[in-house]
Amino acid sequence: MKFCCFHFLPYLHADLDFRSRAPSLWMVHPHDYDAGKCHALYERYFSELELVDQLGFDGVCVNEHHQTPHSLMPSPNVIAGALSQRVRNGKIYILGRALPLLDNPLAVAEEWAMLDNITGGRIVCGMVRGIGIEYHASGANPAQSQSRFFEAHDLIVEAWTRPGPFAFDGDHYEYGYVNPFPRPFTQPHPPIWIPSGGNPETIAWAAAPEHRYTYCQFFNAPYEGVKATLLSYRKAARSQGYEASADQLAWAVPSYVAETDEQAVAEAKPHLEALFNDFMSFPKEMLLPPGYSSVDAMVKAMSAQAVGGRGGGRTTIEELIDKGIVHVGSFETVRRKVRQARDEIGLGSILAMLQFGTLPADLTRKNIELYYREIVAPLRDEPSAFEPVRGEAAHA
Amino acid sequence: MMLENVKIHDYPVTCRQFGSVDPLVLFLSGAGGPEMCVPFARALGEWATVLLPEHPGFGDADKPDWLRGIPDLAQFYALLLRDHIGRPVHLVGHSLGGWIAAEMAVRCTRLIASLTLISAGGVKVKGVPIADNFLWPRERLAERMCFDPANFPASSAPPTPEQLRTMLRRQAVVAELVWKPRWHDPQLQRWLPAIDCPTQILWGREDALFPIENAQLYADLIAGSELTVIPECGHLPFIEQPGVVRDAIAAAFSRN
Repeated sequence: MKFCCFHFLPYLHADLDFRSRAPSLWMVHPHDYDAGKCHALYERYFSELELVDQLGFDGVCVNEHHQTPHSLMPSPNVIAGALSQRVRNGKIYILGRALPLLDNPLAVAEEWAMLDNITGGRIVCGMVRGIGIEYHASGANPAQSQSRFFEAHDLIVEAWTRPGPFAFDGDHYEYGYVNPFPRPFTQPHPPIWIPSGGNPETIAWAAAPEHRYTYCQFFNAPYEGVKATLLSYRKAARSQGYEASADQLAWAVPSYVAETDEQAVAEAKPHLEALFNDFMSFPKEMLLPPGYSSVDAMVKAMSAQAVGGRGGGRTTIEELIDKGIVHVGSFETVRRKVRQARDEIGLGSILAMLQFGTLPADLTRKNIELYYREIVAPLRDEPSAFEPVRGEAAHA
Repeated sequence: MMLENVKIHDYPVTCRQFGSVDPLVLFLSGAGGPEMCVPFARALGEWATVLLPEHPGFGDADKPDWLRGIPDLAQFYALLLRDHIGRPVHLVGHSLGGWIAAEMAVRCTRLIASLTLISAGGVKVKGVPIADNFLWPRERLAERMCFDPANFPASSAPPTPEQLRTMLRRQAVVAELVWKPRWHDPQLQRWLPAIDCPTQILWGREDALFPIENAQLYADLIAGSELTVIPECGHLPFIEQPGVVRDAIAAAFSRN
């Protein structure tokens, strides 16, 4: 099993008592910002990811969000470029770049080819549509999100694999000359991952035999939902004539370990609750702009939101643990949960969010070191007990 | 009934009709759809024949592939006028429907006896924001849309699954049409001076979506147009002040 560390690089000095000023810390909130603190945070976070790499994790993961203290990464490729000089062993997972927001996605093909060459083939290219709020923040049309996503994907892969120059005539993107330089270091192209919140159309597309892209479930779903979604990928693969490998399934999950369950909960509690209640709080209008997904997927997302709704109260770490949204506990507790996902889903990669919310530097470093020693080292070579057909039957 | 079994560009026309006497009114509804215009259209139907179509993509049929922008709807209704109505209409458009009507009128007014734009989209005054209705919480819609929220024609029952699906489909079509540039088209604005039919502009003084500056811009750019600002009225004048709107449209009949 592979283990990576996912880091959101939050601006953790944000004033979390924001609700009297705006309904969310994202986009509509007047930012209270200190450049000196931001500079120091970048240095802190890069050193944490450097530690991750030195310990021996399989990689570090970064992503893209806009106009929010939740993430200091409006451009993940800039972060990946910086990390390329400090993360020397593992891979750099860019999970991902929000393609439909861009009017020139060919630039992404170019930037990823650069990073692939700079790192000698150690990048993973995540393609995402971006969460709904990014369509408010960027002005991109949410009703064209899916069609722009698929077309931008086609353009990038074609730009990497087809000898240029050639012309590209899409519905959204049109180029007289596609001929990027440099070309990818990895042949035919760097690995493509598809991180998502569980959209069934995205899953079926990612699982298609000509793609077989690794599907990465994002971090805000209960374990039973994660399991159902990842098994639906397996089912989609099977219905298209092949059995998905563990390498095609990943899960990004906030994780915190300590000597005992009680200690882990006590140390993680305020920081994890800040992530779920404050950094990740938005009205539904921001998350589900019209046309962002098909009607079926929108209805599913709305009912999931209603079920997961907090009714105005704050979500506690105990609820997050009970629902299996996070892995927090003693070494044995977290090992048990990782094994459960591996054996029930056939999960191939855990992307552990080892910094979250306001988690300070000392606890983050301790968490990274203990997670490596107590979870990664003993489990990475342990065989999975997953059996494809039984796993599906158990789910059904 | 007119316009039964009519297809335009392979898309079936869905149209309500009220009344049967002359003159003829083509009423283009806003993003909320034709349903909320029915009481007004029915009342106006005592004085005229009112055609109230459902915009392509707004009903249960799939959105047609050719529908990407407001000019596509203008083209659709221009063909409806030319090929199936065939005689002059008093063209009335509200909000998104007003934008469509303006797009039709800048192209050709041969079959447009008069143009009435009610709280119309389509234009923007630089530096004057249009409200972001896509971030309006559903539970605040009545107070944003109306001067008096009690006037808002909301159903108290939650939507049925089928109503919800229709609503989501319609909202997706609206977003595709108006998201960017938001609620306007710079090209339309450049060509408004080409409109050469009798034109009036009606606007709620308390319209929270489209600022009153947009009404003034329409009035300034369309030669000879008349602007009426309606007090105690939000974005839905035909609901909040139906008498004022009906009298204004009737006045256009008599001027012709």
